[in-house]
Amino acid sequence: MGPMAARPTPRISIVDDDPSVRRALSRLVTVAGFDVETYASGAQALAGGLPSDVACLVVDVYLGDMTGFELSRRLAARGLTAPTIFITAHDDAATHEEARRAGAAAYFTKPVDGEILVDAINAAIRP
Amino acid sequence: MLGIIGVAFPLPAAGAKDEGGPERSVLLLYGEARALPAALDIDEAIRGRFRAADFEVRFFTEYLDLSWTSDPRYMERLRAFLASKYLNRRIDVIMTMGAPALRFALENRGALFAGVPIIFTAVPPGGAVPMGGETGVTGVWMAAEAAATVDAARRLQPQARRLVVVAGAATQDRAFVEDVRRDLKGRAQGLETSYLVGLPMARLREALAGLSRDAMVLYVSMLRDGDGKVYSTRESLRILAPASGAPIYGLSETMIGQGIVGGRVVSFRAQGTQAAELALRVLRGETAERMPPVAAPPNMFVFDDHELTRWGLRERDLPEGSVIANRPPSLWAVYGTHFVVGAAVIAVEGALIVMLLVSRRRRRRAEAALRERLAFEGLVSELSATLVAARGAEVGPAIARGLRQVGEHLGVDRVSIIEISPEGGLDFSYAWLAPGIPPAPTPVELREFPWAAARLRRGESYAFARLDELPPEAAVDRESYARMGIRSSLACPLRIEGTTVGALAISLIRAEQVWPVDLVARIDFVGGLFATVLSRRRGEHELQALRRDLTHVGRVASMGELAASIAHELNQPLTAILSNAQVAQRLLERGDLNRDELDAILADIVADDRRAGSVIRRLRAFVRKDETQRSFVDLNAVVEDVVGLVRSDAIFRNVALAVALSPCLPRVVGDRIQLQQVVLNLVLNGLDAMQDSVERHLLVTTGTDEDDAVNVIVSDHGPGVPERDLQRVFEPFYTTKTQGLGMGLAIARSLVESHGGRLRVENNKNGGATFTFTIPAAEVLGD
Repeated sequence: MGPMAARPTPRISIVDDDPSVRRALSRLVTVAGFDVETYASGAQALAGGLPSDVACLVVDVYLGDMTGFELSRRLAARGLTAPTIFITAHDDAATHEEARRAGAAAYFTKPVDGEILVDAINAAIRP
Repeated sequence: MLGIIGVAFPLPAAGAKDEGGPERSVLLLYGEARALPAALDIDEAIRGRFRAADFEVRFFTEYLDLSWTSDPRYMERLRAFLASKYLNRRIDVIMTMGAPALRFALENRGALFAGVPIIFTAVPPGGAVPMGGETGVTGVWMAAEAAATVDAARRLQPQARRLVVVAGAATQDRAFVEDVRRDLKGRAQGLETSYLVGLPMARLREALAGLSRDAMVLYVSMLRDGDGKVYSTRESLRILAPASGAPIYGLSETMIGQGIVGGRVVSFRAQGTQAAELALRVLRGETAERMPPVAAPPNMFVFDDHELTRWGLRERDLPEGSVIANRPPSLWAVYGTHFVVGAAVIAVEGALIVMLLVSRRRRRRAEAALRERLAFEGLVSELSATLVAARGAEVGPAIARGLRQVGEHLGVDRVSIIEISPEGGLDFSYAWLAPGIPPAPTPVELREFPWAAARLRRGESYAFARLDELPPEAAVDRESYARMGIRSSLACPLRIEGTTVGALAISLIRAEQVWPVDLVARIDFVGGLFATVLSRRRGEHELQALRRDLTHVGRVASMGELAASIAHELNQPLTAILSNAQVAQRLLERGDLNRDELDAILADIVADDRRAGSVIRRLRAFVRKDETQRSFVDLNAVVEDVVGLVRSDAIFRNVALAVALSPCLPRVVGDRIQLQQVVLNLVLNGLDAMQDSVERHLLVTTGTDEDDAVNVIVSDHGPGVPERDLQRVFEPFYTTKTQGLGMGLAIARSLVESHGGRLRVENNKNGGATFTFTIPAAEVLGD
């Protein structure tokens, strides 16, 4: 293991259309020791251009303008293939199945336990 | 598309005769909303025939109000209402009056009256009602004789050149006029014939006023005029007859005495008597299958003496065998004993009495009886008009008016409707008091009148002119009457479905009065009218309860459809709360007491908790089942509430939901929850419709129209409604969805209509459907 200082703080991107959830998740992930950017919609995430060194994405499944799966596909098309954790307030078998097929690093239904989400992020960014 | 309710509770079939119950039941179905003259005649004749045969039978009566609307939802409710009302009753015979009632009975026979023989009256032969392959249906045909009437009129008015046929706008009116047209074909040569059908009353009156004596008017039927107003024959003729410039002729006995000259008229009494004959045969064991319908009883030429005089028409021009009605009693003396023609006297709105006058004494007696009868028929007709059409909030005032009419007619002190309360008390629900008479002292208990109560419970009336006429076993009652200061009284039971629910009581305090047997019988009949209204009031309460249940079912069903959306609505704030709380915990564990950060986190937790609470509150409001609450409602706020509830659902379905609210929208009066339900149904419906659409826009707007009604418009971009289904979408259980009951739009329309509004649908030019509902504004906004 190299010296700690040499390792940059991993960057996490959160995409969720609910401002309150976005703020809370952002605090949660920050307190867990990550750098965080948040996006309110799929379009914003695409337009803003996610940093290329993003370590992990936390994406809500229903974003208002597109689904989280679609965002994930479009990002992949641009060569961005960071591990993605999907969260959703609509839990059903179809969504679960689609998350699996999208290659989700993890899949959670809201309300998601903060500890577990942070554990999942840690697991996703450690090869 | 049969109602679940109608099918779920079919009436017990009469086929299986149970051994125990000797009581037989006859259900009388009338097509109209109230006892119109013809129905009264038939009703009286049927009951009279059963009485004469001494055949014990229980009658149930329904006025179906079929001319009011052909809306399938009304039929649905009606079916459901009848199904629950007659759930545990065995009906042995159904008797119908008129084509619509027979059609109703046939159409609902399977669901409501399986296997019960049907006996019809007042139906013209010749396929007016398709009988299909129905067995066990028989009855009495009715033949209106327009041509014979016109022939007679031409003999009275040889100079006449024009014939004007008059009828109303109701379906039934138009059906009658078609029969007349067929009958007159080739029979009115030399007469310029015109048909005035479906005009508003005022215009018809004008048209008749413009006629001269070279014309004759044939009045066919008018249940409703071109403005949709409902009339009885008496009511419409009261308006038309005095105004008409030409003599009016008619086709039914009930029109005689109302301002028509006369005609070859149908006797509804004869119809009723013959039908009762058939019913008796069925009840005595003959099978209706083997009884073909009987030919129409012969009609009679009846003319009104008063009208003949008014128009200067000569009695010697009348067809042979004509009966002259309404001849003033004083004239009879002139004709003396050689006058053998039966003088038919038509009671106002009522019955035909033919009397052969053979001696002066008999004549005088007959005259007195006749006057009394006329006065009584007048009373019945007024009462019938007052009471039977009353609905909802009109019932109370109508009963009060009815009691006054009875009181003034009889010249008594007090007329009361007394209902038995569940606790055994006596409720003086309605009372009329002569001027200066105090109300009956209260409270009064049932046990203070044991003898009277027992009689009334058995369905028997009683009357006494003096207290000491009461039998010895009525000692307790006598004391109670004395204590109440009543000297003379008559009481008739009010029975609903064979159970005594109260009494019509007539009392005298200032004097004693003898009650002739005839009078008691007539008041008994009047009691029946009041009982009908009370029973209708109870029926309306049941219907309201049914509507409440349906609304509740609909709301709960909508909630089911919304479950996913609601889960989303709740999960968002819960997610935020949990994360924020866990962040706060971590910060505290670390000793990181950044006060601003902690304040911000706690403020967010509080806000999200409130947000979750409001979702729950909205949810609870939607599924609550209770009485309607009327208040001022801002439809903009209603739309916002609903949009708040479905916003995430729309996102979930990938629909762009846009809202355009009018900035100055007058409020309406209504039930906020019900109106939310309507908007919710329309919005969900729109979302569902766009399931397979490429473009998914839903627009909700509010505004006002020219009539100062407030409207809410929900416009989708789905496939639209197939042209042939534009009306059906509001039928219960109409659905194109695989899920859901299909009750949404039916309930939405009934809720809008209960607010005095209208809900309609049309297809958009560029695809999709637009649902619009309007509700009258309750305030005027200044600009």
